[in-house]
Amino acid sequence: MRAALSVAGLALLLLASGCTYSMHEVAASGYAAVPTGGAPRLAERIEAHTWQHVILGVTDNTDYVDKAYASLLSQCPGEIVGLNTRYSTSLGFLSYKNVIEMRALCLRDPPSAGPGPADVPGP
Amino acid sequence: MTFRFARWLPLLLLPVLSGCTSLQSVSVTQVPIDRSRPLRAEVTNTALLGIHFDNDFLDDLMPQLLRQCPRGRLTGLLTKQESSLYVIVATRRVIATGFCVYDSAAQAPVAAIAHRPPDVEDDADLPEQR
Repeated sequence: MRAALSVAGLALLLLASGCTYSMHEVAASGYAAVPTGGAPRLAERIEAHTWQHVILGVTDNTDYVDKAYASLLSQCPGEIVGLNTRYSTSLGFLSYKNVIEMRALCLRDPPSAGPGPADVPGP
Repeated sequence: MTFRFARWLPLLLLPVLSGCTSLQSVSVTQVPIDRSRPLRAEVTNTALLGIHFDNDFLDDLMPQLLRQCPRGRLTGLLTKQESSLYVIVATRRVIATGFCVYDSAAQAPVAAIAHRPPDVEDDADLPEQR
């Protein structure tokens, strides 16, 4: 009986400590940029990463997802394409952490051509 | 033994008695340059003991979005599916937020054309919103 309790305690310790990671969902979308008719735009990698620490499973919202999305939008005034979203959880001691990662490409207009070397006034 | 168990009981009951919300699914579509017309739609379905008899509550999501964007293009849609458990009541919720884009001004309703940022002062020359 005592041995069984010890094994159960050890198993519980392993389960309750941070040794498990789970990936719930991976999504990729939006790889068709809307043509603007102008010069080719520059693509820049952007990413947002937010999480929610949950103790004993008690939480009442999923606002961290909205924060990741708002962060992504704030990083890019232009079109955002090639969105990759990951939703995962890492387990800790009597707690877990929900993590959202959003990676995307921000399409920016190329910088306008400045004055060329011929236009620079000489000394 | 009974006394020891009773001491831990409130800790064990804490997650059950309080609301536990978890994310089931999330997806995002590509985000437009024009983000002046945000929209939001939400549908929920509550059931006792988590016994749901159908998924029809989802059918109202798209009409809600389309009503907010007639003849426009829905993009930048962030869709979340979450579920909440309150003791014996389970609620499923799908929330969609995004943007309505009109590719040409002719498609946009009058109210949308006349949309201006709130910091712009009123101008008598602008057409009336209908």
